[in-house]
Amino acid sequence: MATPTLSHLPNEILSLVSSYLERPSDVLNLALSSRRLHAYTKLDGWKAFLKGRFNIEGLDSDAKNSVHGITTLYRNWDRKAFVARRLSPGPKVRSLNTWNEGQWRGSRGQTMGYQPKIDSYEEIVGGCWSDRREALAWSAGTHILFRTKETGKKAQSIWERKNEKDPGTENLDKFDDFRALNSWYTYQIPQSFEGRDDITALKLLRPHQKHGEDIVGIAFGSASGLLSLLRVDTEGQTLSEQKYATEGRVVGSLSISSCADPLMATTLGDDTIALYALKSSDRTTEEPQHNVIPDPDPDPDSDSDVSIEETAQGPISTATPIIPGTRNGRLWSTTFLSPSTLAIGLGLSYEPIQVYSVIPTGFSAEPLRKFSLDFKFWSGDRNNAQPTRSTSIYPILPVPADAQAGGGSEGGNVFLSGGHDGIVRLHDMRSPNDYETIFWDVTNDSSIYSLALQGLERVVAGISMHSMLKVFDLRVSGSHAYHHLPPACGQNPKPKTTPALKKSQDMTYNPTVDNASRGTPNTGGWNLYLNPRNSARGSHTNHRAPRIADSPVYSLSIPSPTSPSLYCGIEGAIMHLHFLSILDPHPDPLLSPIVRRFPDTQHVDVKSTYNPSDEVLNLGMYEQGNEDGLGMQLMVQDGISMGVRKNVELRDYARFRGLDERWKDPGAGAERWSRGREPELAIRGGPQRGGRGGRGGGRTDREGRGRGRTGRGNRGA
Amino acid sequence: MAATASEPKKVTLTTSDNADISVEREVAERSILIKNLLEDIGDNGDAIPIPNVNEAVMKKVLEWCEQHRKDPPASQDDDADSRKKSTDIDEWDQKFMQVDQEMLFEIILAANYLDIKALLDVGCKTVANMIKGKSPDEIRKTFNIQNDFTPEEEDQIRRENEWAEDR
Repeated sequence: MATPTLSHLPNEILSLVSSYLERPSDVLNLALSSRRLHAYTKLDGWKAFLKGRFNIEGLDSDAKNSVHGITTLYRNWDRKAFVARRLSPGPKVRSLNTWNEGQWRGSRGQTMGYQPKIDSYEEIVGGCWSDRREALAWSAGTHILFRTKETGKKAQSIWERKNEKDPGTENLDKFDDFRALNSWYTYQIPQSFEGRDDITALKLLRPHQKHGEDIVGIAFGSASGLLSLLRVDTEGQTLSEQKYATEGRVVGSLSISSCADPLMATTLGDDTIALYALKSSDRTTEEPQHNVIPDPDPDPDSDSDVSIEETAQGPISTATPIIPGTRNGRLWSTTFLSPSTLAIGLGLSYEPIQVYSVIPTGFSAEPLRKFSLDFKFWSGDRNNAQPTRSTSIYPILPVPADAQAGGGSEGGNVFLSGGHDGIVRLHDMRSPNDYETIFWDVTNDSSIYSLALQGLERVVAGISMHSMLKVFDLRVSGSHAYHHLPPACGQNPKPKTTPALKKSQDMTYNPTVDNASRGTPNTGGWNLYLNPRNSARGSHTNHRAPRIADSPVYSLSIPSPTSPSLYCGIEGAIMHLHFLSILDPHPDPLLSPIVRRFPDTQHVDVKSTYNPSDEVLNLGMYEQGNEDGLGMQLMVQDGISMGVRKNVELRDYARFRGLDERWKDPGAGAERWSRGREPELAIRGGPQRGGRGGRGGGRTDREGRGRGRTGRGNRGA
Repeated sequence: MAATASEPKKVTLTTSDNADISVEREVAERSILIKNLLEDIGDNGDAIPIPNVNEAVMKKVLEWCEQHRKDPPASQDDDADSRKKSTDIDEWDQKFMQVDQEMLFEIILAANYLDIKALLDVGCKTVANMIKGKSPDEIRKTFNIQNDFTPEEEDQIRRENEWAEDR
């Protein structure tokens, strides 16, 4: 037998080696070492790296592009590189009520802007990184806006066909600036009144739950107790609706399990959770069980009876986690952690998270587990049994065992919660601890209203004021913690605390077993103001300008771990952050159809590529710093122009290291915060105000203030 | 399949160079190939031929098996899981892998043939660590690879993959 060498190893074993490589440059350099290894890399190397490093499957035939795309996406998040726009429906929106096409006139008759709920998902189709189908829906008062977006080969060929035949044909206006094919739909609750019948909860059924190619499933609940599942066939133009009985209670929160034949859980009023079976097409075969809501609420002046017909299907089970009359607060949210476990957020309470087990016939009688969030554990004072702290939990978000797999959390053991106290916590059902890690902003303790996950890399939190987002690194076990540059090269703009750095490098870190790190909060995130500093020209004039300067961030949605989009719902508006870096000479292959380059330099023409309609908004952000030192220096995005390249040379290297080229000092070039208050004021919390929508109502515990200073010294004493 | 007997059962393996190695069955069964063989043919005391592995390599592999004899068996599922989780190699394994390159690749090939997934993983991680962060030239030097590209070819590949350079 010949002496074995690297080049002689079979592809199968080389693939295993490649799956353990760290960066695309490792794969490339291996390919550059010899013809044999280049041939291997082309055939199997990228595939193995994609699978091993990022656990992405199903893209084998497009592995190199996929590696390019996913590493670019992570790089853009790391560098805080994104392009923000207000999202408004295209000029033609088809009504699901009438199937007529027209312009969407917005949600009217609201004294304040609507409070959007958003849901979205994205599929990669046909094994090609750039071929994607995204569905996005949000509530706008009594309306629902729904968009399907298609990118890649199909959209491209339609674009080319239309362009050749006669430019200016009507379908062209379905293309957005990114040359994706958009179809917009709107639905209005019949006989509804803005402000009274507003949609308070909304979820989309996932592709494997839709029961039909072109069927879209939209579940929503309203303030007046309407709970409904719309099944929309956009091709055949039919709409069917199944209503569910709520006894006229407000549907504050709604969650759909990830099964093919899912269950739907909702909160009803302040104290009840209800479970419904979302039956597929054969809904006649099973007789709906009768409504067992214990406390029928004969709302005398409820003229919304029209919509709650006899056909409304009752819940299969209800439970009342809040005992009426007790001072346990109220229910805020309900979320399936797995098909068989349902979490609820409530408060004010010492145990503001409860998890019920769900069986086909209903809930467990008692919660499977309650989580208490007082601080005695992380203050190290475990002997003090007296609970000293209660809070409310608003959003709960499962952390899937594998974010790339999609379809919800398989294990359903790990989840995040967002608190009234402004803290995001990571919990694990398998652990005896009430929480494993906290994500904590030393500069701001406003309540957390919404949460979203970017893969297993980051958690994004929307807070109750200042139209502000917080972004924290979430480096949990099984994440694909990725830095394009090794940490030694200074990808991190600020040195993190040692434990955080250790964790991010240690791929074996497991929050369940690694108790040593408990008590050290994760700090060092960044905060982003969604209030733009410029006014975009292209926005539609017939919409009332939303008050986005100081809104809560009601909802967040990231369609998939491979999607560059983040959708944010603020008062009366949806913001779309598209993570891309305008000066990147090698942008995500997703963007290749739209990237225009100057013929002489081959540089990307950033203005006509990324902002052809002058819609891009420039946002401001600051880095939180940590307990050792606050960041809090405002940075703002420069407009999209070639000038950005020059600005890079002017800005302070140390401060902006590792950041996208658009970020600059607001003081430079006579830039001022254009709307509202001074940035410093905003950062320090500004005028205290409870959030709207009832959620701020419980803001009575002032203990949260000053946490940044006392640290974890004597909490719980 | 916990060993209950007070005196451990032994099996004999015959390597490609006709050496007989006697080893405890529990240790040998770290190899799924040997385990399946023993289950299929029954333990009749005959020596098991291992025609693809020589004595030196077999001894090295069995040394690893001995060290890891009590490791929980890898199920199909967390097999894929543990692969994702860590590119770290524990200390003993690191020392174990400090062998010349020829032996390293022999161990990898033997682990592959004998179906010892954990050893195969450790071997491949070791090779991956030898590649990480190196330039093509350094990789060639490390693994004694002849550069058989023309400069034009090399240039072409670089140009096509500029995005993959560290930036």
